[in-house]
Amino acid sequence: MTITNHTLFEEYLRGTLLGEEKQKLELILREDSKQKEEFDVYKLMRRTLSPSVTNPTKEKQLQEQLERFRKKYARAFTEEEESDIHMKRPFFGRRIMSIAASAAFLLFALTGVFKYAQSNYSPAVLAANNFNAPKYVSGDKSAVENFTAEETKYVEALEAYRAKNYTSATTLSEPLMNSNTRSIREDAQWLIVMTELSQDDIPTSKALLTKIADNPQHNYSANAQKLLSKLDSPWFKLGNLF
Amino acid sequence: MPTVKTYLVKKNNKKTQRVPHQDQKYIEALRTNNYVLVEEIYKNYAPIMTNLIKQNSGSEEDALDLFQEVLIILHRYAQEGFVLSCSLKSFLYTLCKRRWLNELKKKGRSHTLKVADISDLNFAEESMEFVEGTEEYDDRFNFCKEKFNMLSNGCKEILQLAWRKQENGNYSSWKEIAEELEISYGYIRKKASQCKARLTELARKDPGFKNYN
Repeated sequence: MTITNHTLFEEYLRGTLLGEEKQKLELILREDSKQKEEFDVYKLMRRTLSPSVTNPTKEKQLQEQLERFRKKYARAFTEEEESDIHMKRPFFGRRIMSIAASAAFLLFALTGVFKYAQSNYSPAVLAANNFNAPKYVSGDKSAVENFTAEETKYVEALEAYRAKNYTSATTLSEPLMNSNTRSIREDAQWLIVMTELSQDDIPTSKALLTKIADNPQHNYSANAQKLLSKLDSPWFKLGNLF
Repeated sequence: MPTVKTYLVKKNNKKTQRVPHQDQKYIEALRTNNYVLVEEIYKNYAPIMTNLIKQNSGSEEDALDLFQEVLIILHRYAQEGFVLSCSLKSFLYTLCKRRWLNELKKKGRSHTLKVADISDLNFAEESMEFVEGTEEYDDRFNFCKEKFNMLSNGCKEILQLAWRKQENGNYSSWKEIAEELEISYGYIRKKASQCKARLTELARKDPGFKNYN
């Protein structure tokens, strides 16, 4: 293959081969099959390669653009796909079922915990479980006959408390809170705390309990401390949320 | 019974009368790197291709690699004057599907592709001609690029300049190219011809060339 012919091929393809020279080349291509084959090979290579080879930056720019879009939309595609999956699955599909089962279990567990707190940590239950009242036997005439007036009053107050007649219990106990007999005085104070607690008056109960707990000589000091810690516990807060 | 020649003539006539689809604007956008429209292509069609590949043993990475590769091929093919007469969606879908199938075959995994829905069949029918044309172009491009890369760096530079069009659409004169490379006019013409002859020789010597000639 002559170099001259390749120069002419290029001129021809560029459109700069004119007049007699152009006609001459066209004649060669018509009559010489080898020249024609060479021309066709060159033309094919040039046509295929020239845009990419002569302007590689353009292709690189597009590649960079596509990389940017890839980063920008990757997250969006994933989210879209997730929502597609939810749409396509039947209502009771596997995922929905597992979420529902987890939610039911959680609800069941929470209800159990709440019920436990409510049944063991309500003020009335705390009062009933922590009373530790003196063992006066109601209706024991022989015992009552030997009681002092203050002791009788206390028993009456105790009976009223047990009958959930809290107003009477308070009225009967209050005078005894200043009794000269320490045991009567302290029993009455404790009964008042229990009465307040049974009526859900937590601030008053706590104030009285603190006073008792702060006095180590008080018969009910240890009980008061125990009860105070129960009133401050998370269980008590949970059981009394509503 | 039509002869082979008449069939070829009819086929060629059909090609010349091809009416561009409205989505030809996207091919043009890929040719010119139109940022807005290329983003539109990505936003609208990447999720569809991603679903297709992910339904067929591929990952999202595989899908986006393939989609990017296809858009680059279209960018090159558009420079050659590719005209699209079907919707871009069906064209991209069929092209990605076939390329992914080939990818699976290369990995030695025979696979029957799951398709999104029945419209896939219509996609294949209307776009097959363009898909086959694009695949033929891509094979041809890779073949030619491989031969070009076998040339010396000097030859590559001269051919790049010889084939490059200026902003006004004209080619640089040999004199301008000689000045740019700081070599003589006579030498550049001689060297350019040698490089072209070498390139065609490399192509013709490869048995695979008969597929493109």
